[in-house]
Amino acid sequence: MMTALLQASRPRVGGLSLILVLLLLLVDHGQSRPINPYQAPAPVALGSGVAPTAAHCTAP
Amino acid sequence: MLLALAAVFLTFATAGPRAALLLLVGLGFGLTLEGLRFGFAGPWRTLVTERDARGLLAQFLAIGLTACVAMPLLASFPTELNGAHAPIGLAMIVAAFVFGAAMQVVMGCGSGTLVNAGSGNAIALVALLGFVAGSFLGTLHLGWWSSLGVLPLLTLQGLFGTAGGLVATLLGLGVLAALALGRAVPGKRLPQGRLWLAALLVALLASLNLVIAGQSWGVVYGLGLWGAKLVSAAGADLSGTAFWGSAAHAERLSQSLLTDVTSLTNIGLILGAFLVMRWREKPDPQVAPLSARSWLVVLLAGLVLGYSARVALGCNVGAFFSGVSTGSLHGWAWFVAAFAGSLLGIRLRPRLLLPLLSPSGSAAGGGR
Repeated sequence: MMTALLQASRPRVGGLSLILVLLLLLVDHGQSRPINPYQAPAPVALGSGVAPTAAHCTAP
Repeated sequence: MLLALAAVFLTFATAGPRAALLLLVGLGFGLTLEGLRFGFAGPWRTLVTERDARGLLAQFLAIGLTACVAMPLLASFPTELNGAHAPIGLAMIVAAFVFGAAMQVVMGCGSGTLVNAGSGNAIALVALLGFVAGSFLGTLHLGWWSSLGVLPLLTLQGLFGTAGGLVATLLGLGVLAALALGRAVPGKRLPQGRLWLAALLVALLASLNLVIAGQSWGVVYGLGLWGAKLVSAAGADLSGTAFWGSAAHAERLSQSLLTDVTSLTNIGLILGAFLVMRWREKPDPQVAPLSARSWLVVLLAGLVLGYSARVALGCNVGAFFSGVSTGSLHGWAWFVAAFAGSLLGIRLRPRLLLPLLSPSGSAAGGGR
């Protein structure tokens, strides 16, 4: 079954990729703190006056 | 298109305008990389095997253009924007070498694996699963690897000033471009029109990423976070680990992925590539069937990709593209080490995936 899946057409494998992302988001939704819309950051960091707090792969 | 609009709208409604904008940036990356066939691993390989410098020159152009925007912005808004700066370290260099080798085995780098998976490449999808696991595992050992020795953080701006750092960056890219041109054969030197356009668009999107997120384009952090989320969902408590127990990473782990910068752009990359693939009248053929052993090799190579990218403090995007374009010396060290590793990977790939590859070695390709 796995072999057949991996030899499926590109649309099917691409669709599977999206389904996996959706499943990840669902799992995440179940365990993460709810997003508070009143604490959403400014649309653009530049000019916001706030230091970036997001993480990056270069950060230890 | 409706799928993309719905995704952006839902992100806007649940996580706010910045998250929606970053998803749009990711979509732009996916559309550009897949639609114009702009990549990293492929051009590194073709420079060596086909003496074709066009893709690599497009990379240098995109990085140089981004540097022209990013370095002055970073100097002008130091409290609001962060460059992709990291120290050069022993483990970082070795890991970049390993990453370069592994990315030639799966024919996909950090961004390439996401784009290829979205465009339906089965090898990339399997490699992506390994990449997520490897990135997460790398976070568990990052402190130990870093303890092996690192130099102080060095940037070209710090050494030569903002203007001098930018000039040094452009000169360095120019030297690399000259070396690539010297290697290339006639007819494979000047990038095609699509690559010029792709370089412009990638530079534009990378600059937008910096302006919107406050940090440079990255890939690996998001994938490691995805792994951590899944492990946590399975019941593991990561608060006792040095990495995920630290305040900044614990915060990311507790927050929704829709608030994480690299997760948003990563999702956009996959979705954008999927859309391009669906828009094509005739999607590319699926990669050639592989034996079970070869699929295992792909999965392991993906694992190595993720682990090494984490230890190397970034992949071709976070370390090379964003590091170099924001003046970090570690980006240059990363490129040299990864390119050397790539030479090994080019030799390894036909040996590891030999059983069902075509004689040209391209059957299982289609990578970036």
